[in-house]
Amino acid sequence: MSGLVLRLAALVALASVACATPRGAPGALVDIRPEERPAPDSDEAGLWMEMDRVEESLRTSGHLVTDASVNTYVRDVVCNLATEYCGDIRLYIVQTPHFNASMAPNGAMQVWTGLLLRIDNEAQLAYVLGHELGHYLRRHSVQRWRDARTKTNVAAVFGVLAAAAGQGYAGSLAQLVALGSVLQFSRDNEREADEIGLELMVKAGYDPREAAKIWSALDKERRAGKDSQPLIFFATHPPTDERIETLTSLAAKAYTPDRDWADGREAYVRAVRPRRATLLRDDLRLRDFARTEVLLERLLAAEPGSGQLYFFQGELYRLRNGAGDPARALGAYERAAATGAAPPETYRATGLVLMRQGDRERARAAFGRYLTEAPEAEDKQMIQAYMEQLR
Amino acid sequence: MRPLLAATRPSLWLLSLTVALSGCAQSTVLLRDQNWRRTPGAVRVVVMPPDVQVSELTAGGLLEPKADWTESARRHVAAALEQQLHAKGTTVLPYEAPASGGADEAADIQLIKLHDAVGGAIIVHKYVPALALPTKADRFDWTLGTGVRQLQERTGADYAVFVFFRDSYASSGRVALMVGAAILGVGVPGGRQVGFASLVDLRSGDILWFNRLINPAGDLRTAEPAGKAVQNLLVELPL
Amino acid sequence: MTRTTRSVLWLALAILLLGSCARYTLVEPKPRTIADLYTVDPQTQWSATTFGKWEIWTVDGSGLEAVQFLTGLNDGQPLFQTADAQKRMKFQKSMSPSDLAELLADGLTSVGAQNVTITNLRPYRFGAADGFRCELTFLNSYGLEKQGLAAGAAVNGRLYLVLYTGAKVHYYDAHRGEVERIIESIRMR
Repeated sequence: MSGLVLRLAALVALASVACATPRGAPGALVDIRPEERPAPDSDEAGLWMEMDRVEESLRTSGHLVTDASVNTYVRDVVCNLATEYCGDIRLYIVQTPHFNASMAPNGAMQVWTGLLLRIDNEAQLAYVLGHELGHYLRRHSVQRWRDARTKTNVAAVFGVLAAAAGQGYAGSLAQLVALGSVLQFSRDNEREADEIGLELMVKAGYDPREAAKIWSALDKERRAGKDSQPLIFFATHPPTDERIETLTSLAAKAYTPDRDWADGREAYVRAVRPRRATLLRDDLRLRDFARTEVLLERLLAAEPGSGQLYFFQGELYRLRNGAGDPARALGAYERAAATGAAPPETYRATGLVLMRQGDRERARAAFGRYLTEAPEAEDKQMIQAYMEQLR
Repeated sequence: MRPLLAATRPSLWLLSLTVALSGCAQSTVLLRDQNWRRTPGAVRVVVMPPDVQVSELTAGGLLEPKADWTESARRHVAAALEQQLHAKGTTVLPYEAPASGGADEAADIQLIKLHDAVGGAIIVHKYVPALALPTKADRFDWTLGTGVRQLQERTGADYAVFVFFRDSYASSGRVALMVGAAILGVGVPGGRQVGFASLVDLRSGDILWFNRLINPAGDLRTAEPAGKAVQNLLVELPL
Repeated sequence: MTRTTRSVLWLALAILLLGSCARYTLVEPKPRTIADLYTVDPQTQWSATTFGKWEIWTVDGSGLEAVQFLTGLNDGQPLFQTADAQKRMKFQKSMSPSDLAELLADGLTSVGAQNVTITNLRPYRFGAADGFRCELTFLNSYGLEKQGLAAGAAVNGRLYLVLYTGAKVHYYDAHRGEVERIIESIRMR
């Protein structure tokens, strides 16, 4: 697990808070006010300072998506939800194929590209971001951190943060997940954040019935990947049945048929589709085939006939290379080609599979087609060499 | 007491490493060229933002960063650096970050990250005898390369100084623990201080001088002891 | 001198305490056998150490620049030893040179490299085996820009690689010429 992911998730874990203090109860933290910063000698200030340092390293890490249109898009969604708090929020879109969003107590909000890939529409994005805003607005992080301080047998909050920030790939995801579950949101906090997420969604005009769907989708991936790393998002946000039931019933109460509810699918597609090939490639890079297979099935169900998605399905089978996979890959590439909108790499990939199977003539033809469509390919020389050998 | 290897807290590792390092080398100063002397006349030095962090060591052994302590320490260290470098007859320039989002900023960021990486290599391969590199056996010739010239051109400085401090002070609970443990004959470490500094030639990029703080020296949170700590660190600085 | 230094410190300490001291030995510019399979001319002096299936040479420290030789991976074995890589980054002897380059890119990603990009992928003759050569760019997990070049092939069903990486600022260029000549000097035994 890369150092970046550890660092980010440490920031997430610190953003996560689990205290059973209900809203308005004596001793409960006062909600954060716009433009508020902790007093320099307060314990909260130390937490903010550490957050600031991690945020600074994130800013210069080279892992941020700087593309203006994606940033503007997500920022507009956030600001629409956050209203007068918009100015306190600094948004970071991080290129990593894992699903996650978080908000640190100092106002740093992260959205990971694995999330942008997996949502169906803007309404689902609004729910997740609204949920994180809920944790921020109720200062859950600070309470949790105060809680953790008094427990000497819990891994030092800052120690683990620093460890995650510093360990590069000497660290492990298991450790991270352990941290996440140590700082897991309490049920009360999660319920509260869900309530706020839904409130903010509804206020902004999004269809509240979309909220529960994202959990089911993630859960399906989780169940498919038994051998995979645990999902980072679930480490801090337990995906209980209770949550889905609660979200469903809250949505049912909020939804009134006379209103014009938006799911924002077109806006989402317009904003994220230009990057989807990169995001899918990043996901496949992990070679976590069980999860990617479920993801691609779901994406294809929403968009049957997508040349790009068939191509990536083919890539999954080609890389997995288990029993029957070469045939599956070729089938997927054929479907991609039939749409007329297959990326040129489809023919390269077809050639590689055919070559591996020993089908020389067809492999050569596929490679030839690839080079016609992509004459300046980075692997042009290699492909030409294959074609020579396949004569 | 939990075994060292099971510890996941970096504070423990760093403390242990400090303990392991102390008493290893006679002199901690590394010089590229023993005979090097600075050019006479006016010399300009840019001081990179000191990387300082001050924490409190709690009874439970947690290192908690303290914002107000760190802020004070940073100010005192920066002031001491400026004052002591000035006293050596150099003109001290503070580092000003270039405009956000520009090419200059990106280049500076890479330079600072490279310096981090070079500093790490120096610490591991020059201060931990078991990990010494045969290719560095009789020399100290790390460099940042001539890419530093863009920093020189922008600041007009001849040299850059980088400083790193990590400092921690035992909370009262910790002190009580230490006292109690001492009575029982068990050693419980108190706070620790770690410091490194480097001098970079902004024409060649060469690291001319590198030093590690030997002994904990003075509370960084107040001006006078911070000055002593910086003095301790800047020993044998060939400026 | 922040996170990079700290992580290097921890790693160093871990190595020391675990007793598997990564002691470095001197490589002289004389013909040297790698993996019992081929010889190279090192061109200059290097500090060498081994880590799992990799023999690693460096002048200034492997975070700054390093030539790594993969000394023969069997079918089904992982490229690197992290938990992720062990599960997912496995060599298959039926892989084409393109597949091998792809495995290298994904393998590097699994150990912390970001934005790994392979360029100029071309054929490379490794003894009697058809292999690949390429250049690459990436960021390390702290955001330091790196460059690299690689050569590799499956020989009698086992994977051999030569991977050179270095910081884009100064270090990659400092020894690139020597590494190119090292690769040219490869002679099968």
